[in-house]
Amino acid sequence: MNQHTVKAYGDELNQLTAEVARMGGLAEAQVADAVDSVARRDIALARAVVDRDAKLDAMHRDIERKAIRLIALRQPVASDLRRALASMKLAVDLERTGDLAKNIAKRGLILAEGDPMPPLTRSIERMGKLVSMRLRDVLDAYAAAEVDGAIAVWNTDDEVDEHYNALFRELLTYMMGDPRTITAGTHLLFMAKNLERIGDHATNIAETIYYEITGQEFTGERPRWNPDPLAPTADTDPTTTA
Amino acid sequence: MKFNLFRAPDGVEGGAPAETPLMAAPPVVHSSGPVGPTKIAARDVSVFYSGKQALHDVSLDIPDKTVTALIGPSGCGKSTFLRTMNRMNDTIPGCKVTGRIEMDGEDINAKSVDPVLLRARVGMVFQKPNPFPKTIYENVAYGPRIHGLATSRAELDVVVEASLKRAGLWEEVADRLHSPGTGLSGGQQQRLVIARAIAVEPEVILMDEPCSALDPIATAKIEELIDELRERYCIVIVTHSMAQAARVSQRTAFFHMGRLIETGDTEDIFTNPRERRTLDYITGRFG
Repeated sequence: MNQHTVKAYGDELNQLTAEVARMGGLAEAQVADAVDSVARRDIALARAVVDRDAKLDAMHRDIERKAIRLIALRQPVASDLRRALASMKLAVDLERTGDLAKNIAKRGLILAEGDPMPPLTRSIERMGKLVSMRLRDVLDAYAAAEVDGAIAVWNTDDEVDEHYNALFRELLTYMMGDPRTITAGTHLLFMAKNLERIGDHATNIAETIYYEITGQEFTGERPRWNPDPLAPTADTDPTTTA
Repeated sequence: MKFNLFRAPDGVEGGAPAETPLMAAPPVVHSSGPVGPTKIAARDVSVFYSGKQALHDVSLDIPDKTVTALIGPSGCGKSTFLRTMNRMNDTIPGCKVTGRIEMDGEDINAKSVDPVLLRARVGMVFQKPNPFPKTIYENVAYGPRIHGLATSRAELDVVVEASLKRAGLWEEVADRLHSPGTGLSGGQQQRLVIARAIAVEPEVILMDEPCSALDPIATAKIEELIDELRERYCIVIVTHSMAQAARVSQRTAFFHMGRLIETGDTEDIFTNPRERRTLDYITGRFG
């Protein structure tokens, strides 16, 4: 597309997009490292994730400041306006993603003090890999400004829900079988919940990308996984945010 | 990771909006919102200045009780088009207008139409305020008097007061109606000219960059006035200020190189234009 007549304006918009992509890269790494630290019982890595969260918070504030400045000084319209607004929305989703990753790492630190529970942490790892992949795909779609990539991520959110529900049942079974696992099981349950929420943020990001590029609201019907009637579902489980 | 810093602009599937071929492309017309019935219908209007074509086959419906903004770069034909609607181009030697312009279904270029009467129905406000070198009162009273809209001094007083009130100027000039109109500030003069235009009870008001010579406060007053006048009149405004077009109009038409490129609801044009040239212009990408 053509350059802006005022070159600095175009530069500022590009900078905003680049910073969101950078922030996305960091959030993606935080999620992957947090899950890794749990799987490998790596205390140093978990501490590093907790410490790095401040960096994400700072990037969020910086992007917001720059977007507000651009809106005030350049009065963007049409695709430029959508791009500025999308950067602010994405920064919020990424900042929340970072908070959830930090929370996983903190719980990992507590789990590392107890006995290893390999089958359970492996399930968390599998779910974490899936969520990290979705986050990576949606951020790639953002960087490349590809609507199709965003739609693909949006369409696969049910896989995450499926994992979450399976993990929920698995953990429940363990805890019922051996009450000594309840503390660890509860931490793992929260980790699964956090990962499920990160998946929701990836879905939000996909919707924002769709709006930024097309100017239309995304109105697709999300395929709903048909749940086992005995399992907690997004509709009946009060802890699941819609 | 592919990195596309220059985001794909508007258009689904990540593509750029289609750049329609320059010649003979029909304009993009999208959703019409809650606007009045068509007041003026232009069909295939072309304008030639001494044989040189300045406007190419413009067809556009102008709704009543609505503000329609005409935007586009200098020389795009927006003012030329505006002037066809009250036959101002008649006064330019060597100027030829083809096509058809109907107001309420009536051809305004028909032989039976008196351009002077037409211009009373279709008032015009220019870029530079142009009050007559007469008193404030006489500026407003002039039109009703020559068109026989007031027969007595008392009736004329009523028309002058009502017009000045409608133009939002009454409070400021009530105590000096008999001082010269040229002694007012620029913004006041522009509102005086609007009062003069509405004194003859027009149906349409054409405005050719009415605020470009005014400061932001005077501009805001005129914009507020335009919004109030919209309830009674069909208003067409030519403006170089995209922000002004966005603020005051409900419909926007974008012209480029003598052609109508895109027209639609102002909100749509400024959030999601369908045509590449419109997008380039409103986002400041015209080279």
